[in-house]
Amino acid sequence: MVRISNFQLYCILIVFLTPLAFLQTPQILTALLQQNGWMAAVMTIIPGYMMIFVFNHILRKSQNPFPQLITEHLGTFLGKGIGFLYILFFVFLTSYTLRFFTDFIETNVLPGTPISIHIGVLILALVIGIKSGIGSLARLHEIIAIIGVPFAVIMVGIIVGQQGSVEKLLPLGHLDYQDFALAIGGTMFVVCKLFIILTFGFWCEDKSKAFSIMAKALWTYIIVIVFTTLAIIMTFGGIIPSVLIFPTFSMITLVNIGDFIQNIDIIFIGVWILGIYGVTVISWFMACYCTQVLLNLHDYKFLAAASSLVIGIVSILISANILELLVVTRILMPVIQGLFFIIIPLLILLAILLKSYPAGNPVLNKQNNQRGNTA
Amino acid sequence: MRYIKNKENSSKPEQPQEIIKTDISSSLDENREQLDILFQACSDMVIREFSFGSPETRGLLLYYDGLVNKDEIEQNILRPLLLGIDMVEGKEEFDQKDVFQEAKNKIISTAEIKAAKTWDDLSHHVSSGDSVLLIDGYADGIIAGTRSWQTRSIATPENEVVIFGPKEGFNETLRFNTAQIRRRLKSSNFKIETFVLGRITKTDVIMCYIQNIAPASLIEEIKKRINEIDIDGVLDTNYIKEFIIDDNKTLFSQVTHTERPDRVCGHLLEGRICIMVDGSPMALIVPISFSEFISSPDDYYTYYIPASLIRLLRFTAFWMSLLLPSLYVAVISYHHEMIPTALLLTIAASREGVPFPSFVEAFLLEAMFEMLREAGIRLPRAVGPAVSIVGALIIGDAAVRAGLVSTPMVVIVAATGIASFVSPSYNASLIVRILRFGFLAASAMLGFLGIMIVLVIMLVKMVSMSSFGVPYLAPLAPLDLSQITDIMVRRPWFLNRRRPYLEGMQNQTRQGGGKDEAT
Repeated sequence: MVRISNFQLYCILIVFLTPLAFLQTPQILTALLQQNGWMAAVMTIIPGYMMIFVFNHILRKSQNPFPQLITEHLGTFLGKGIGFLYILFFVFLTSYTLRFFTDFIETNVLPGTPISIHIGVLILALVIGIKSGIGSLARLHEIIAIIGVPFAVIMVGIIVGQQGSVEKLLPLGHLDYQDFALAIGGTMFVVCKLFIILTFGFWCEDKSKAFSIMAKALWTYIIVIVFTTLAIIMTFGGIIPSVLIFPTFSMITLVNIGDFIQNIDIIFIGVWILGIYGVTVISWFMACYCTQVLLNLHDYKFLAAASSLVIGIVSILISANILELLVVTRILMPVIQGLFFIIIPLLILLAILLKSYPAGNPVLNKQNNQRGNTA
Repeated sequence: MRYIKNKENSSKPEQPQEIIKTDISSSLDENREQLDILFQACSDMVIREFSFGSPETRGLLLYYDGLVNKDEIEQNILRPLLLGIDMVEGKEEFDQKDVFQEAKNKIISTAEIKAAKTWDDLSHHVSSGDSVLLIDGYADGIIAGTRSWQTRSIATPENEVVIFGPKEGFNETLRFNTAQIRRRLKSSNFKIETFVLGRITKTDVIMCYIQNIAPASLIEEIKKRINEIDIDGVLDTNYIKEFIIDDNKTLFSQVTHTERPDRVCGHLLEGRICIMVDGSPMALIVPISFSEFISSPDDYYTYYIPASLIRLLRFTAFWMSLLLPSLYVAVISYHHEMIPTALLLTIAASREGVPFPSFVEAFLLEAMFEMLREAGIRLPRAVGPAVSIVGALIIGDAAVRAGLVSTPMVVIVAATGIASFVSPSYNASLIVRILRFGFLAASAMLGFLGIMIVLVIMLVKMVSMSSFGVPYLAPLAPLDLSQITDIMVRRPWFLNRRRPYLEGMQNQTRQGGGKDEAT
């Protein structure tokens, strides 16, 4: 059994949550709430903690990692069926992330290169990553988080120092409650990606610390998003970001260090690649791991090469151009992620709350004994 | 009759490979016959027959010329046996005594003495420079330690030069090397275990460690891996290295080489294990992590503030030597907007008329630089540096004048070359030199994106590697906050309270409260 440290688990969660959101979420928030967008990010803490409670409860009441835990709580038939849907979902998520990134590169950095080249090269790197095993991936995510999070904060800090104006945050308030709720939802569907703790939580050195690890990941995510949204508003005001496709990226392009280092967007993308790699490799790993478990295979590593063709083709076919991809991003992805990261976990929670477990369940027995001793 | 003849033949081995497996005979004549077969055509073998004692006992002394101290043989073996036996107490009853034990314990006066029973044992010791005395009527040989040969004296290691600190280096004689370590580690907990490897070379290989600090499981694992080696010859530590490392399909070195005894001691005090081979001045240190390649012994002999700044400089140089040409190619080919217009115009002007794309230009210059570097190593010492410098200057200047390469590219390649020499480890420098070409190709194809993808693949490979169970990128991944501060900068000694953690380490305390160390 692979063991990952609590810090590695935290890094995996951060990397899975933040890189895409760093580019997407501030735009969603400012489009809906203009100069008050950052407030929705702050308010996400409340539903975020609710989801943490849900995941933590499922984790505590389960003996096996996801996807076995679906079978454990919902029965073999339903469990297997939902498990297979999750395989498709993670394949789609991987392909979507890949496509989102390559379209972004295609549009902003290397317009002449076909996206199939980018996708092919990234898939090669991803296959190498998955084949190295989860222990190595956990260590890799440590490096990505250690480099990525401070880099993002420093970049945003520099731009605030150079271009920021606090006056652009005014007037405070004046927000539409429906938009406010939608904005919270926009931030929230990213927080729900904490779902992967249902698998990784079983491998960490101290499962009982899962709640605090998730809470730390949530706070880090919220701080990064609030800080970035504030910086975007302070730089562009409340209106302009709503018409920009990637206001974070537009903001980064304004960085100028000593009138010499300018247009550092490519450096930002370089570091961002690490983050995107982290997100993609984890979702692909989840697809491979779910397949291994549901099909009772010996190993998941060989599935990376086997599924690479599917991932590549799906990521090419997912949309015709970046505009279609933005529609997928803003309409389809929240729905799909909401279903798999919120609705199904809530169903599992409901099953746990309603179902009576046999006396032989060692986890529950242990917890009951602990409760008894405390009492 | 034929059967009997065959049987007689089979009872008396006549081939060297058969003799070597047998025991020494008690008959000196028979032994002489065996020796003649065993050491046939060994012109440097000296076999001296003589008689000693009263009544006369026949003896035979053998050694290899050039591997022994002849004065010691004369003074401590032959003279006491031939002339000094009269001084032995109870010489009157000499014939009634065990001549072998008398000779071994009372007559021969060399510092090292022991017995050999088999031809294999005898052959090994004679080849190692010992002298062997065979006595008629005894089926054992007396091995006298008479090893002495011409060797390189202790000199400053050329590849690990330091400004401060000890200047001594290892040489090719194993015992001199172990003595240099022993002189620095005056503890009975410092252990040296010997293995004999190589079916033909019978090379002495040692593994040293400090008991109670080095993890017991690590010691056992290394012993196991060394014992599994089955090869005809071991001529250098690299032979051992390639057998014992965890991953044989990687560019990254999983051991550290050093020829400095002080460096070996520093590593042993951190719980690591040193492997040395007779005939090689290089010691192997295991386990290691990649951060070892950034640090130099000088860091620990210099005050910590300048040492830390120098280490940061070295770290910068490492990245420069790895990425500078590829970043330049990426910027020139794909990301012009990154650099100020004035600089871009200057570069564009200097590239005017250059017939090659920047990648080809960089590749040609880098390849030429590597050739000059290799030539500088192989050329005679007196002319090597001169040829390298003149070659670089003349070829570089001529290439620019001919319009084959641009001036900025020459500057970039030269800066990269200088940065690569900053690395204190030849191994790290070698890895960087090879990887640089990979990054160069990637930058030519996909610009900065290509560089990052190769970097990601490199990181994946590095995080998946381990050196004897120690993650290769430790203490960065997995993160160890207590040790990370001694990587980028040199932590002052007064804060170095704990040793770097190794799985199974018995005593991590370095200052105040260290246990079981003072023996």
